[in-house]
Amino acid sequence: MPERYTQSVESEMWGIVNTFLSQEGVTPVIALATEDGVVFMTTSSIPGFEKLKKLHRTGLYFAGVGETTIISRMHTQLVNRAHVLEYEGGFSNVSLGRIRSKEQDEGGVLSELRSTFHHPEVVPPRAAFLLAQVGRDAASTVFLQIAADGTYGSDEGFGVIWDSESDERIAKKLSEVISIGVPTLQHAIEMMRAIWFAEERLSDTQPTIWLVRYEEPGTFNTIEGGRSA
Amino acid sequence: MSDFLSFLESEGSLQDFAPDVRGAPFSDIDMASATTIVGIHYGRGVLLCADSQATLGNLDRLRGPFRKLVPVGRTAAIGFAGAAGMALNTSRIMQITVEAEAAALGDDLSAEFISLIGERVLAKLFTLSMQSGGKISVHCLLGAYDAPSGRAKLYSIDPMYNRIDHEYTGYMAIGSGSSHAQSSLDHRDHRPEMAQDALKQGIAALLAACEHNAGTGKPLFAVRIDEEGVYAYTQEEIEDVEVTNA
Repeated sequence: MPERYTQSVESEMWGIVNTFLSQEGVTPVIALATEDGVVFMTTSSIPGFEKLKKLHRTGLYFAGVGETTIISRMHTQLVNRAHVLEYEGGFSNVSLGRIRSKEQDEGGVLSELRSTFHHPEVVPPRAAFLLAQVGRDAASTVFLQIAADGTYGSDEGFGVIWDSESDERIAKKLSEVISIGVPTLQHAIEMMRAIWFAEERLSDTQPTIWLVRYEEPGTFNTIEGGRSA
Repeated sequence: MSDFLSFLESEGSLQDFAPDVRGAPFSDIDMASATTIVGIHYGRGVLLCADSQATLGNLDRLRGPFRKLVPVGRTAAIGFAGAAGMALNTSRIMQITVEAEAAALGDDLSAEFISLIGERVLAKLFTLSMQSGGKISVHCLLGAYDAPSGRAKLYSIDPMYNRIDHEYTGYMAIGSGSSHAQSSLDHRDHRPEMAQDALKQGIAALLAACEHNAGTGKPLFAVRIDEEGVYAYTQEEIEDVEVTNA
């Protein structure tokens, strides 16, 4: 296939994905590692559909933005993968790195995303995903962002998923926050709220803030409103 | 039903769990089944009691103690009788499957769902059990709290993966000493309302099995399952009840 054609298809696919993710009602997921634990800020326009989900009780978490059917399917696949890793090699065998590595293989979900995205006659997966592995502290916590085409990237200390233009803008602000050092919980929440409400599309939303403490990585609770999961 | 078990099977991992053993010389292996597990309904909960003796053939009795009660997720526990290695693997795969399904669902599973997972896991073992002439088999008692109904359930799942709900009788015993334990429970004068009362009945039933069955031995273990989750009794709590029963 000529390279120009491939690039043109790819650009069209990214256009479809970003148009979907930048529409009203699609809200981001922002995560930041603090001194006490990892804070996730999210909201959902669909009642009962929580964006933040547990992958494995060792402290692996998953969040998705975009089409809910794709998010649910991706979540189930990754839950299954994490637990197969546990079955095969125990708790220490479960990590984001191993999940990513397995899912890149033929038949894996990243490989499937890649082939769907590059298929010229199929609507690309209109979603983006954030995975987090909560460690013993901020330094050992890992974030992994997965794009609609199955490619992935990682930022030290934070993670954000939304449409590509907006998430770059938010990522820049989050990197400024952590450039001073690992924030306290209170400071992180203040900064995340400021970043959230600076976005025009989010000004009328009410985000939910979730906390996963380092000493209890298998549990996540809301720290506002008293809801827990 | 369970997406995780299907996934595990498609990955080829379940085949290690239930290998093809046609032609294996099982007739040369003397594998006595020895254990007693008791399950008792009380109020809105379920209590499981187990002995801890592992028996190898008719020669050795290993007083490890061998723990035969295993928590499964946050709201259930399983007790098993039968071939030890297979029983451990069965409980392990049940633990992981229940955790995977709960993570996928984002909530605790219902008691019936957990029991169906148990049924399906034992169904995977059925062929292996038949190939061994029934010598390698596992029999389970499952206690699980069911949030939708607000009460715990007690199920037994036998090697032919028959899943039975024991709500009506209120108790069940499995293993080589089960007839003695069952007899003790048959003669109880009331259905317990409190966990402590159920513990007394369970320990009495196991002591009867220890008395008459060479395959059942101390120390005894017990867990209760109710709306607060799974609670494992300490040895001191169990010994206190043993002294009262003596």
